Amino acid sequence: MSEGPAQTIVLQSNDNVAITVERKVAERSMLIKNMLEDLAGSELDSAIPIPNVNESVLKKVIEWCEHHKNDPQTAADDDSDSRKKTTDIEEWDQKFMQVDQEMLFEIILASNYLDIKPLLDVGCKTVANMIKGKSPEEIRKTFNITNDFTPEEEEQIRRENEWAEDR
Amino acid sequence: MDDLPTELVVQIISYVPKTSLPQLRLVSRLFNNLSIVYVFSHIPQWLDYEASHRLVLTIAHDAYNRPAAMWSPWATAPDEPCDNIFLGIVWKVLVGTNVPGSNREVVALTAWNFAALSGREDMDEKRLRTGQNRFWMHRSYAKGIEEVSTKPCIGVVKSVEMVGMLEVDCMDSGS
Repeated sequence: MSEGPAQTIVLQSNDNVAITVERKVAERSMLIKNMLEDLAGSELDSAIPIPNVNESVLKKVIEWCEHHKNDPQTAADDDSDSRKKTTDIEEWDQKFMQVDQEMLFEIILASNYLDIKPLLDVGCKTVANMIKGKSPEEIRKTFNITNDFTPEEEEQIRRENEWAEDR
Repeated sequence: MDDLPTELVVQIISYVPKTSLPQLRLVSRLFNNLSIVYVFSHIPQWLDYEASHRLVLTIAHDAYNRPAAMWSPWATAPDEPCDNIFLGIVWKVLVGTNVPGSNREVVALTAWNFAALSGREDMDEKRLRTGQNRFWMHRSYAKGIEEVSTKPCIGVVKSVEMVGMLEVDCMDSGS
């Protein structure tokens, strides 16, 4: 008699660290969920390699998945009105995202690779909030971006911006 | 940010409020290229006769916020010629390539050759001019003449001011 799917699985980061995680938590990742469904009925006797994510980032992503393991799954294309909700990040997620910039971008990359759309959204919103209300120079400074415009190009954009929507 | 693939940067930009996008365009060429469509996402609706007319009507029917004097949405719209900056923006939004004339090409973009150069036969001079002027009109009504005096709607605003004066004159003489 089958015992049903295992309640825990092992994920292996790209720096060869094995992390045991509750299956329900891991299934916040659509990549892992689909993989496990494809393996339905087969024995999963080895760790699932996560080649693009190192241990510290994977642990951080798992922490998010653990907290959100009971959230309803969102529709894949539920992007309506997203622009209006830029600051709409729940308090726990805001604290979760209080990390250095390198980790923030690593989380975004990992959530994209692992196909965890709600986490990807939170990451992108966090960066968007770092851009919101800043001058071009402040944005460059925040993200270490080089200004590659000529003065003429900058002037042209300023003139075009006069045609931007006011709200 | 350099480590993020373009599609993720685009996703981030999609969450930036519209009011912050003009500043984002000025950060670098990459951000300019990726955000321009969002900054000017309102432009296509002004090039749609019905949609732009509806937008002007909406303000005319807003009893609390409409200005005291305004063009009748059913009358002929202000007739300012097409602005080169506006044409360039329409080209970038609809065609997505460099604006003809911007890289010392022989042929410069005008409202009259826009349709032929872009392959968009529907974008004739009248449509471009009407779209531009309805945008100007709508902006001057929505924001108020004082607020928009530094933005590209001065010609229309002057016209509206004149119409307002005429309306007041007519009312005075009729009373």
